[in-house]
Amino acid sequence: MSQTLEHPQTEREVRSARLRKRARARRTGGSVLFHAFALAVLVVILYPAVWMLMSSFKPGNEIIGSVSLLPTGGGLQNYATALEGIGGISFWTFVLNSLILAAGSVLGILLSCSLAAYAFARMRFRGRNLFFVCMIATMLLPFHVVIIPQYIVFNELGMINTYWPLLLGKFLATESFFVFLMIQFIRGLPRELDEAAVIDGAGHPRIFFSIILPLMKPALVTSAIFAFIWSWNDFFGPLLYLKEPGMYTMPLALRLYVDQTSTSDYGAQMAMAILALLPVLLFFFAFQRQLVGGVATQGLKG
Amino acid sequence: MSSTKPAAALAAAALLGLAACGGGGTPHEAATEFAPDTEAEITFTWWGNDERADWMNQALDLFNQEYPNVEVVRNFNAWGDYWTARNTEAAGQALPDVLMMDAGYLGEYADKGLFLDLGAYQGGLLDTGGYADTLLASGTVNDQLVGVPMGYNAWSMMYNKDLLDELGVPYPAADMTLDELEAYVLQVNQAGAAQDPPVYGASDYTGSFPGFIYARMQEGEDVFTDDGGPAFDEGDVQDYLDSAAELRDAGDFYPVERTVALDPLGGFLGGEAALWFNFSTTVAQAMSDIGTENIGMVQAPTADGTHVLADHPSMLLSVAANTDQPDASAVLVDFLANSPEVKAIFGASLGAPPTDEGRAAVDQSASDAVDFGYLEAIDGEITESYPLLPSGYGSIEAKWGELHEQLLYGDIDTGQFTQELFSEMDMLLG
Repeated sequence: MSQTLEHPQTEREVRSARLRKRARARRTGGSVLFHAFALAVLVVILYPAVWMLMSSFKPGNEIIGSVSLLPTGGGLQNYATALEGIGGISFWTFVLNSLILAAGSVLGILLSCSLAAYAFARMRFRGRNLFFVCMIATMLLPFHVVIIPQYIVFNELGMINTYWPLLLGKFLATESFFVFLMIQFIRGLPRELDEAAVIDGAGHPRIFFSIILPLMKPALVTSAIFAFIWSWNDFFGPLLYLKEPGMYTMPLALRLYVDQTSTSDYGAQMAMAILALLPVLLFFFAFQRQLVGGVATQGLKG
Repeated sequence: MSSTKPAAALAAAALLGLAACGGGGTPHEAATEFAPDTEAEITFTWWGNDERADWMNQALDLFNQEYPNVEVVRNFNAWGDYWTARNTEAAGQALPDVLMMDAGYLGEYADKGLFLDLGAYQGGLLDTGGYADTLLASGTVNDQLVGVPMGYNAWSMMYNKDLLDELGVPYPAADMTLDELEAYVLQVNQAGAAQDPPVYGASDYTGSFPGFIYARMQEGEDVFTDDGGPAFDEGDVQDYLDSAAELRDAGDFYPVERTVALDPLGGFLGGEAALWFNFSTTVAQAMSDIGTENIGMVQAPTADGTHVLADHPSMLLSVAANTDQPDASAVLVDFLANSPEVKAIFGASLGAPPTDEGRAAVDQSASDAVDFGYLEAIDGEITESYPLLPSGYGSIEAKWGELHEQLLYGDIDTGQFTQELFSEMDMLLG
């Protein structure tokens, strides 16, 4: 009897153990599959980057047309060529130029856009909505539409071949994307804080500098990071306005290695591309946490 | 990137349209003397790579030894970017004083009155005595000398000797006919089929507009009319494309998928096709990209094996109409065009020097030797000026390439090719 009682119990145990085992096996199987898939996707996504890195160690004529990653011969020669600079201009000059423009852009955008955003978000003045619409409208204008008029204006002002055309707008809050981003952020801050300050006798400058600006830090960091990366990677602006290789930025210098009509040094270009990526990567890693936090607070995507 | 390209092209077109509103420069009394100690500042822009920049700096240092007080502010860009930047400047009437021009763009800019007529300086500050008339004619637009060629080259067929040796195929002959060329391509294909990747005879040789110009020249036909329209009809283009139809349809040309994969090199520069049709100067590029000095060069085949060739200006120097230093600019053009020392620096990388003195000054590199050897061999066959290319030519040449790629992919047939080419020309040439 006891045997007959025990027997179904053991059977049930055995069955449940088998089921558990099968479930675990299925889980393991699924997990292995998932990881294999994820790794395969990773390889596809990372391949171009790795290809670029490895190509920077290959001799120039082995780069185009070869999908293989491993360099045969070569070595650091490309980096030596890249660091030598172009046309008698040192590599570091290009880095410095890019840094000056990037730092200037960040400074200009933080100063001017935060002020403009404060005015739009907190001050009441005649035509505010109209100005706001105008500002948003500039975001809709494709860049190519304004190139010519802009070039003519800067040419008349004698500012060609200086950094002014690339920086002036940044100090005048013409980057409406950042103004808009900051307006949205300030609108999210409780008005009670301003009102309390007003009761204590604070005017607009005081409210801006003592209350709004410190609270805007996430928006400022986000803007700074985007402004830096955009300026660092900007190619078209410097191409149009800078007329001397001594003033060129990294993206312009990068292109000088490859010319369809004469011989191209792809190796040096790859090496320089890697070197040009480093500052942006470092900047990104240093501020990564703030960037993610900043984007999350803005509710911005991408 | 792909989305910015059409936008950039559109912008470029708009810019030149705007430039047209600016009108030409004010007439200037051309000086005949230029004292070596004259003070001036001029801007000078060219396209090219790092190496060319080094050479240009050396050449300008030589210029400054002769004219120490003329400061030359230099700038250079890669080929594609060069035209974006120049088009914008043209719109703002702010072209650099002296600039390098390409035959394909010369007419377009000159028609808008953007260039100074250098004819006024001929015999004075600008010496063109050593230049062939056929060559100077290619820098002349509307009876004005707007571009002085720094070098010249000619249409040619290049072959990769290493590759042919490896396959055991003899080199192509100088007086090949088109039928012989077809047989030759098939012969290389057969010998190269076992290689990995397979080696082909050539990419489809109807793929570029200069090839069509060469074919027209053999028939003694014009390519463009005096007022800048096409001097050929749809049937001519279709016949030309069909001349290679047999090989194309049978898949005997270097596969287009592979050409696109190797872009910007293509089959020949990638070392996977034996023949290449291009201007003779490009042999330097071929040697560098393929990584060999063993490149041979002969005339491109024609129907009967005889050739009519033209000296094609490979690079021209122009002076902007908006310059406020026309005399100093003309002196710089003269120096760069004629100085044997400058020719010695550049070799044939800007095209073979147009003057005998200039060519003699060049210490020939492997590629110079091939180029000069070829030009010498065909000297008696250069009987024509390269046709003056109308404004918009650059876009038409690009369109030809684009359409031809679609043709090779089988997306369009030769009829559609012709139709689209002509509607593009209607728009651009007016």
